[in-house]
Amino acid sequence: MNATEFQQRIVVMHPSMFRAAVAILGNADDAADAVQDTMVKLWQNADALDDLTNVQAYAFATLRNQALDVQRRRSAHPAVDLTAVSDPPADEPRSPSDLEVIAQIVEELPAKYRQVTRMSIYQNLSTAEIASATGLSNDNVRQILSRSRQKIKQLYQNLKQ
Amino acid sequence: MKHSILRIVLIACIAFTSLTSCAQTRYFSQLAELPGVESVYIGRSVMMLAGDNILSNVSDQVDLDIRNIKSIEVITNEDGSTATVTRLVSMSSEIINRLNMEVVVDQRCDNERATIYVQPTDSTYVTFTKMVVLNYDQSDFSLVFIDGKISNTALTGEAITDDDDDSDE
Amino acid sequence: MNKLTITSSAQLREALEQFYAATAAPEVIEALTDYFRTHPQLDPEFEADRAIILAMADAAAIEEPADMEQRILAATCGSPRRAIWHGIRLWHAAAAAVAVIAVAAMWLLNSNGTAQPVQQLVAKVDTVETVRQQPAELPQAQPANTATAPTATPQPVDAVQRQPAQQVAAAQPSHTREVTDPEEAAQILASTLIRARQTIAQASQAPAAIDPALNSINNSLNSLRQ
Repeated sequence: MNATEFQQRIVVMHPSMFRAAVAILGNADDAADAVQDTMVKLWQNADALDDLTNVQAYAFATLRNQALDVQRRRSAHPAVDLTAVSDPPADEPRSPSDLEVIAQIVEELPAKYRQVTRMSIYQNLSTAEIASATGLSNDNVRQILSRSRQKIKQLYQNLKQ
Repeated sequence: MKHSILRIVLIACIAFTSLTSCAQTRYFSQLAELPGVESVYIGRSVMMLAGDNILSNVSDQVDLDIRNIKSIEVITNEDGSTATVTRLVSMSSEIINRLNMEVVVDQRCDNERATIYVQPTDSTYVTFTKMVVLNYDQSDFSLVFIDGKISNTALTGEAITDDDDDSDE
Repeated sequence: MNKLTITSSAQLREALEQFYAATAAPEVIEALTDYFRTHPQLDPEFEADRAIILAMADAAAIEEPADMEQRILAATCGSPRRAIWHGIRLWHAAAAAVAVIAVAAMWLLNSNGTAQPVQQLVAKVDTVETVRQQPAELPQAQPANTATAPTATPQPVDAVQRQPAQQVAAAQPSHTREVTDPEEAAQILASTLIRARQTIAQASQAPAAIDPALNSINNSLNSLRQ
């Protein structure tokens, strides 16, 4: 994969990857670092990316591990500034902790469910757009998304009890 | 012109590589050809990318640089046949002997046997260049062969389970 | 298009039902978002729903730093290290070709009587043995590098029936699947190491292994003595 292809296929994912990273980490600065580090790793392995059947899933999986590393380092060094609130959007946001909780739950879903849910949440794609991107049927995507949302709700309720 | 030369050179590399011993050796490919046997192979390029995807709870507790792993072969039987298991045990034993691998653990429990073989890099046994994890009983056979540099600390230390939660809470 | 507004519990439940069925239109999700933002005091029954709906809305609203793309490009495609790599790729390829040709020449010169690892295995196991086992017998593996260092395959209990390898080989399709997904590869490696560690842990805690044959003999002797 050359520089042009890398830009067209991988770098373009940065907005959705940033959203996913903020959702996991609750912190825009850490999220930006995680996304940048992920992109560097992907670039270093750019030649091998052509062999992958699903580059997007691989990119998000790499990002998830980068974000978990950041979380682990953060909890191992509590002196680090843990300000977890990013610049709030125009209207009043929900507490960041709910977003982080749900983002973590999403990362624990099985691979297929996780991929579809990420595309729905972080890329704001419709069912048809997800179907087109994944090669799944519309009905299949709808079913997966439905089960994912129900599972997220169930796990969220379990956590809050 | 430069691109044409590059293309010819690369094609020549690939052609000769496939003919020479530089090609990646699949030590247990013969077992995969038996009826009722399924095999999975993971090559070097995928292992290098897998380094970024290793389960975080494993990477914390296992001293293993995945980029040192050359390949993984997995052999399992699907037919539940004792005859297939026997044949697989026999053939795998021969290959393991030929590779001069040594037993680390040989455990028998009821009718099940679990054995781990390694090929040490040197006499210090700090690192290994090959590892086989072999499990079988009357009807089921499973062999995992890892080719690459493995530290003995990858096998020692606290046992970890699939249930370990990799979230940070 | 008229903006949808949720004004009753019944409408709320219906909208949520559509959401969890993944059939909700964008305006339904927008209506849910508005409702949950403007109704902070809700029946606890809807707490999880509110968290999920608003988390999704918040995630979609996240905006990254304006210079994010520049940072990424500067660290990746624009890296001078990468440009150097492109520059020397031709030389690497040429050097690799020379090395491969040299090795190939050596292989061709030495190939008579010298089998490569895979070819050696094929040459050695030139027949397929069909072994009839007694039902109670566990197939025995030959441990490597024992004191007696056996290299032959284990002797079967009953007579061995041999079939020419070619007959068997002709009927055997390849069952090898090559993994191309790094996540799956990582899973396989991780589960292997987990299993190996568990085996070692169990073995270290178990009492010293007793050879089943020796155990059986001891039991027989004990029964005779009684």
